[in-house]
Amino acid sequence: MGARRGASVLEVLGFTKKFGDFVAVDSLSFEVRRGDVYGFLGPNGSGKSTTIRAIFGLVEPTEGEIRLLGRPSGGPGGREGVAGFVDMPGFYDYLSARDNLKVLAAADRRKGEPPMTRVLETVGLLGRERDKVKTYSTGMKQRLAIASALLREPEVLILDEPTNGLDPGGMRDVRALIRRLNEDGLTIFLSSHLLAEVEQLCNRVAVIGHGRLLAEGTIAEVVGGDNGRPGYRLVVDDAMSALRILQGTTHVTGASVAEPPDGLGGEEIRLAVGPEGPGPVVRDLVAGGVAVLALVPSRPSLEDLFLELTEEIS
Amino acid sequence: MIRWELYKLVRQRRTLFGLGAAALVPVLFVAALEITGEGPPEGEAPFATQLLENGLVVPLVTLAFATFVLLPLVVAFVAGDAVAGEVSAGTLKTVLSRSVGRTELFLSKAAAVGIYCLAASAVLAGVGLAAGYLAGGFAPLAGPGGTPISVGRGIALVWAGAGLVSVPLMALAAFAIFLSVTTHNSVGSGVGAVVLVLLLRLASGLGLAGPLDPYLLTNQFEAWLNLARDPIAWEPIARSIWVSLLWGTCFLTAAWAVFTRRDVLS
Repeated sequence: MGARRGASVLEVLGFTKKFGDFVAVDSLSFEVRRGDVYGFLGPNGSGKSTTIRAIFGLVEPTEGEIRLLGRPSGGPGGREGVAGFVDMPGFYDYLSARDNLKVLAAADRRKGEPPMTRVLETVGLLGRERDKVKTYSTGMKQRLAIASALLREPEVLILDEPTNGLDPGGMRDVRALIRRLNEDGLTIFLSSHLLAEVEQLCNRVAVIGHGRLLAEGTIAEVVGGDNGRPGYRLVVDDAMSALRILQGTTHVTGASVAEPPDGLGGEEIRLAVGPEGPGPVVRDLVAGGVAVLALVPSRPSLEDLFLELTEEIS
Repeated sequence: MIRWELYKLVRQRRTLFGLGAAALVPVLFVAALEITGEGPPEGEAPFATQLLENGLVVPLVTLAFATFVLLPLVVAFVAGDAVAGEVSAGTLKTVLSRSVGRTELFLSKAAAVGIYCLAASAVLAGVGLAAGYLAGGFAPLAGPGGTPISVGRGIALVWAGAGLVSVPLMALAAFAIFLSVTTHNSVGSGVGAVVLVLLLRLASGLGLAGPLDPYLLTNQFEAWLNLARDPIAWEPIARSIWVSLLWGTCFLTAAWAVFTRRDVLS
């Protein structure tokens, strides 16, 4: 995951969007490279949709630039090789799914027959394609939106909350589909406020809040504040003695007293250990007369980080 | 793109409703004539005095009547939905996320609405001819000033009239499209275009327009009647065409300028 990254396919360069005096997005910059499943995280109203609209050229940047596959996104041919949707995608509900796809294929101005049957099959709508879209459930519309994007046979897929409105089974299917498409070579840019989803799917993330970039990098980089070193939760009988001992060793790169754990008794310390792992830490503590009640690896979740980052600024 | 814009148009209820209304008017008109046995009083409509004996008059009278309210109405509500309907259904962003450029999409929509204007006039003329023929058969007409009009020329007059009427209709549609693009409100845009028609008619009726009166959009709807004169009075016909094109081009250019520049947010 992400050690050797491909060429840049989406560059957001100092993108700013103002609506009157309101700054929806403020100097946002990040880069998506070929092969990424890139997570775009932020609470509702953080500027995610505005950014995605600008990626599709639906919104003109007030400042900055967005480049897709090396071309300015708003310019002629800017969306070639790129497909996806923003917000809840709209369809002509008085037409069948197949007719909707035909209208959109006409808007693609591509030569030759679009791979209609294949994309319907990919998203599991084959057999329902002659039904009017007004008879579709939210989940089916969401799958039709993915089908309509795949119809362009893109290199880059841009999905705005693709599991929104789906039941757990539908979510699982869409995630499996995203993984499969990525394995087939598609670069995927995916906005979400479902942190577990992003953790499962994405190799890189950008976290935004109030239109500003709060964090960017691999999940490990963004989550593991301590240079990506594994974090642990240590429960001891005497936290102050333990901290004194730990500060005298080289096996620990950072330690702090945390909220006491429920029900376990004792006092909790959060720490990050060096390359030798947690073994020497336990040895030192026991040698120093501290009772180690528990030592469990605790990668802070993306959710912890997300809440921390987005609450800091509000 | 035009093909699909037309396809979308014919699959929408409001389009069929408009064309249905255009078809219904001559039928209802003939039915009313049959039931009451009375036509409109003399001077209310062209050819009105011959209405009871000659079916060829039916399409001519219904066309003249329909330009007052019916045709502007059915055109305004379809044209007013052209962009606003796509905005409220969220389909505009779906389409504009594809390869098509905004100018191409706009021109396709405008062309589809223009074809609808022609279709509405043609349905009215065609159904009028059929209803008139079934009700009373065709006979030669007495034109303005008593000049005789053969059955063949009478039928040609109906079709040419429908064609000429659709030119100011297209200009009105351009205004509805402009409202549709700027307000994103489908019904409001339709109503707005109808209000424009009423205001211009009022201004003309009260003599408020002064020397500009011949250039009001609503005064271009009657030009086709000059085709019935002998010899044909071409000057008002030509003026109707260029005045309508001028109105239409202005509205359409303004609509295009807004459509291609505005952020798509819904």
